Parts: sequence; structure tokens; C-alpha cells
Amino acid sequence: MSELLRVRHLTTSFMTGAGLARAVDDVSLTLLEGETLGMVGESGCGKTVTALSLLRLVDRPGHIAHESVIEYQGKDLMQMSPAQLRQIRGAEIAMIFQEPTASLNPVLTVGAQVDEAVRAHRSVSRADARARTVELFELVGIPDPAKRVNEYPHQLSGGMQQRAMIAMALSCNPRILIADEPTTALDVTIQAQILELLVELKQRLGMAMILITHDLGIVAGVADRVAVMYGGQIVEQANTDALFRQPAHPYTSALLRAVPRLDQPATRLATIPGAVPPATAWPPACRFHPRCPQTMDHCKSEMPGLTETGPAHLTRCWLAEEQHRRDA
Amino acid sequence: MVRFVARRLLQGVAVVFLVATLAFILFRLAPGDPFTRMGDASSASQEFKAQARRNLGLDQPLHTQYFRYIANLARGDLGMSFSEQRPVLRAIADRVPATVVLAAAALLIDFLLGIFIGAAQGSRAGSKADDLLSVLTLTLYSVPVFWLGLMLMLVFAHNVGLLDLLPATGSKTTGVYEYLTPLGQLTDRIRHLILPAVALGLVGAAGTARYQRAAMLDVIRQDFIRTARAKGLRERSVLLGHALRNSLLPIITLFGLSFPILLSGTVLVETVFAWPGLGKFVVDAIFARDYNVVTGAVIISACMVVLGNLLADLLYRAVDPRVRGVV
Ligand SMILES: Nc1ncnc2c1ncn2[C@@H]1O[C@H](COP(=O)(O)OP(=O)(O)OP(=O)(O)O)[C@@H](O)[C@H]1O
Ligand SMILES: [Mg+2]
Repeated sequence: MSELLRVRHLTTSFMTGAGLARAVDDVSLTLLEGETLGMVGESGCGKTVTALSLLRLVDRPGHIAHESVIEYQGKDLMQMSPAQLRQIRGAEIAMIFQEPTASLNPVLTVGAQVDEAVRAHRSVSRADARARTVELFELVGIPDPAKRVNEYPHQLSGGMQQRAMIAMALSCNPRILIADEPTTALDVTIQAQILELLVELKQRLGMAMILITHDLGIVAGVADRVAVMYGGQIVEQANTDALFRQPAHPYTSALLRAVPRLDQPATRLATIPGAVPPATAWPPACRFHPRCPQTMDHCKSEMPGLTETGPAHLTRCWLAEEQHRRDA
Repeated sequence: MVRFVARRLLQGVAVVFLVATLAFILFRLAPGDPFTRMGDASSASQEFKAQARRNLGLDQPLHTQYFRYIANLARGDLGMSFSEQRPVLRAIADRVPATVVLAAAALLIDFLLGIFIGAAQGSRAGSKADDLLSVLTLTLYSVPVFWLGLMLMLVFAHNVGLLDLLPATGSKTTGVYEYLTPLGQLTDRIRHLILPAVALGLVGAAGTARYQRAAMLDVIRQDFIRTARAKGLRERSVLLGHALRNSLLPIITLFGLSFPILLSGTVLVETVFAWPGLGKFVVDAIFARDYNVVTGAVIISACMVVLGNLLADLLYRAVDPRVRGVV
């Protein structure tokens, strides 16, 4: 499979009152055609900023460092003019967000908002755009689509709103779909439906997908590969099987212990002690060391690099690196 | 929709009734009546004044006066103007069109210009142009309307002005107007309207621009703007199609509230430009203790408040689908 997206040294920072926040720090990743890449990490790890950066949608005071490379099919988005960028946004790479209610314009009908996405990239008449919108609503499982297109966002349930957002994202047959916690704001029963829909549509339309979530459980069933983020960095990246079977980073192991499992009583669920520090105050050296159960002296003095600790398995951890060297 | 308007109008009647009651109480509590001053200036005898008070019912107990006043009001009778010796309603009706034309023109300038400047600022917040416009609008907002009117006159008006472009006073050219063609008459009226409307509208626009800027800033940070950009829209479509319309919601409320304020603003401008409107008439009536005229003006003002708010609510419903089922 060929490389669709190739990101190198992506660094996004915000100038805030409390100082410079390096929300995304030197993130590199690739996305192959048709694959699903899961991105996991606790709240505040930089998942959303990473996703927004991929389409250069970070607002001021956010800033993407010039050294960053975001190559889509060999073309660097960082070098593109606003007009060239517009041809990628929505048409080649589409995005859905965490809060469907806030992501839809409250004063326009949902149909109009999807029409607009269609017409942004295709020169079709209003009527043809509307016909496409109705077709898309049907595709994403909105009942009575011809009527629903004329409704306003507040008239739709959260699940239906997210379906409308998915319809909007799919309107121009994008090659990549970035889904930023698409189910977090929804009822538990609806979460599964939306996730199922995404997986099915991804298969049917042959897209690649970046699925962002803080729930490793979701990733397990859906993703081909997983990138674990902590403190604005990727700390571990591997095929889903390998990551679940042999997590190399203590943070990944901790996240895995925090996943509720059917075969264990809920009371045994572990939580990671402490909290993600703000992006203005990442700890020096290894960013996870103040919370890590296996901290060594080295972890407090020098930042580990992202190194190979298995086949196609990258880890940013002194301990994992040491173990890998011993095993080899 | 019809029910909504009906309910609002009913509320309006209640508001006008309360305002009328307040106006009655306030003016009757104030010392003196129309004949107090007359006594100082003229040699009218005590007996004549007593007779006049009887004729106008001013000798009756207050509650009797009040009930008669409300009953008359319900029939649309605002009483007689003491100073003009004719029904208040007719005296006011003569002057309302001039004031409404002036206020409407000023409102148009106020909101069109204010929204345009504020939206432009909000979408480029922090830029040099934004800073410059902030200084400009704040300065303009601090300028008293009558002073701005005088300055405009000194620059643009016939005879007194540097540029000698527009008429300085009045609402039409006396002595000439009657002989003009209909088109000529219209042009003449518009030329007279420009300076007072601009004076009043500019100061309002400065305030509106501040609100619009804040509203735009608020909207532009919201998630659906990000969605609009993410689907590949041009920045112009994002701003005009998504940000502007949402940012108008707070401005519509401001618009409704501006109605009566503009009416009081016209008082100063009408004085400066000798505009034959309601403002100057009411000021004169206050000094003459011509109660009925003043109460009449207060009630007209209350009607403006009610209508302004009804208009704002209707606009609100047109722009924001979320309130349609609610209010
Ligand atoms: N506009 C902004 N200004 C300043 N700091 C920001 C801004 N947006 C994000 N950040 C900071 O960047 C860091 C990463 O935020 P991000 O939203 O990417 O986290 P996340 O992993 O998506 O979390 P969540 O699971 O809560 O969505 C946080 O520390 C956050 O405070
Ligand atoms: Mg997020």
C-alpha cells in the first residue's frame, strides 16, 4: 500500500499568557492508503491540535513551525497557497469533530451546510447539490432524508447531528477522513452506532482514517495501527495487535490497565495517578517521568528519542530501549 | 407567527398604559401648571387663571383627572395643547413625519456603517487597521452629537461652511420648494436630510461598530467556523456566510433598543439644524409646562419602544431559527 500522508516534525505552539505552549512537539507519522490509524491519549495530550494542524486549521495564537512537513500524496501542505489548501480541505482530507452541536452553524439548515461543502469543490447547480445531499443523508442512515435536509441543527439529536457532519465530510469522496473523538459527546448507545457507521463507510468508500480517541477500547476493534500521544509527542506507535499484546511504554500499559474489560470487575479498573500537565509546563526530559511507575534517573535528565523496539514498533522510553537492546 | 405578534402587541398596550400612568404622576407631582408662568409675565388676574383651570379640569381631584386622562387616552385623545390651543395629537402628528424620516435615515447610517466597520475589525482583530478603526470609533463615540453637527455644518453647509455643498438648516428650501418638480422636491429634501442624519448616524455607528466587533470576535472563535474552513470554503464565504449572520444576533437587540434613544438624540440635532420635528417641540413644551404635549410625547416614545422591540424580535426570529418555537 502506498503512503497517502507523511508528516514530519510537526510542531504547533500557542503563545499564551502563561508562556509558550508546545501543544504538538515534533510529531512524525505516516498514513497508508485505506488504513485506519488510531490516535490515543488522555485529555490535553495534543490530539486535537495535531488533527487541526494536518489541515492547517489552527487559529491564532497557534502557530505551526516552518520546519514541519505535511505531505499529502507528495505535496507539502505547508508550502501551499490558501487557494491550493482549499482544494485539499474537504475534498481530499475531510474532518469531523468532537462536538457535533457546536460544529454545525445554528442558523443554517443542515442540508444547506452540506450543499455548501458539495458546491465548494464541484461546479454543480443548487438542485444537483441538494440531490447529492439527500443521497448522502441516506448513506449515513438519516431517516427521511428529504425532510431532514430542511431542518436546523437544534432540531436533530446529537447522533443525527454527527451523522450530518459525517455526510458533510464524505460529500466530496475524500481520501482521508480525520475523526476527532467523533463519539465522545454522544450517548453510549449512540456511540457504538456512529462508530459502526464510520467503519462501514470507510470500508465501502475505501478511505484512510485517522481515528482520535482517549479510549483504547475503541481503537482495539477498529484501528490497523495505533499512535499513543503524551505531552504533545508520540510516545509509542505500533500495529494494533502488537501494541495490545506487548505495550512497550509504561504510559501505554497504564492506559491499557484503565480500559474497562468485561472479564474483570469494574472496581479493579486502574487509573493513572496524577494529571496531564498544561502544555506550557511539560516536564523536562521524559514528559511522563513524574507519573511513571518505573522512573529511572536517566528519565529525569534526558529526553528519550522515538526508537525501534520491535518490528514496526516505535517507542519513546529509556526503559523500553534498554529492554529491547538486552533482548536483541 | 400571528399569535406571536398579537401577544407582543398586547404586551405593548400594557407597557404604554404603565408609561402613561408614570408620566401622569410625574408631571402632576412637579410644582406649577401652565398658568404659573403666565402669572409672572402677563397681568392675567387670579380669577381668569382659576376659570381656565376649571375649564381644563385641573381643579378636580387627582384620581378624577387620572381616570379621565386614561379614558381619553384609550380613545386616542391626548387632550389639548395649552400653548398651541389645538389637540395634542394633531400638533404631534404634524411633526412626527420629519422626525421619523430623520431617525430612519440616521438608523440606516448607524447600522449599515457600524456593522460594516465592526465586522471588518472583528475579522482582522489585532491588525493595524483594527487598531486605527478602534481609535477612530472611540473618538467619534465620545463626540457630542450637537458638536459634530456644528462641525459638519462648518465644513459642508451653504454660506457658513468651507465647502458650501449642502443646506445648513430646515427640511426644505423655503420659498422655492413649492415650485420644484416632484423629483426636484425629493432631491431638495434629501439634500437637507444629509447633514443632520449623518451627524446622528455617525455617532451611533461608532457605538454599533464596537458591539459588532465584539460580536464578530465571539463568533469567529466558535467551532462551526472551523467546520466551514475545514470543508474548503473561501475566507470570504466563511466570514459572510457563517460568521456575519451569527454575529448579527446581539446587534438586533441593540437595534431594538436604539429606536427610542435615537428619538431623544434627534432633540439636539433638530435644534442645531432647525429641523421641524418632534424634538424641539417637546423641549419647548417642557419649559411651557404644557403637560399634555409632554405626556403625549412620552407616550409616543413608549410606542416607539414597543414597536422597536417588536421589530427586533421579528428580525431575531428571521435570523435565528432556534427562537422560532420559543418566544
Ligand atoms: N487555542 C489554544 N490556546 C492555547 N493553548 C491551547 C489552545 N488549543 C489547545 N491548547 C493546548 O494544547 C494542549 C493540547 O490540547 P488538545 O486540545 O490538542 O488536547 P486533546 O488531546 O485533544 O484533549 P481532549 O481529549 O480534551 O480533546 C492543551 O494543553 C491545551 O491547553
Ligand atoms: Mg481534543
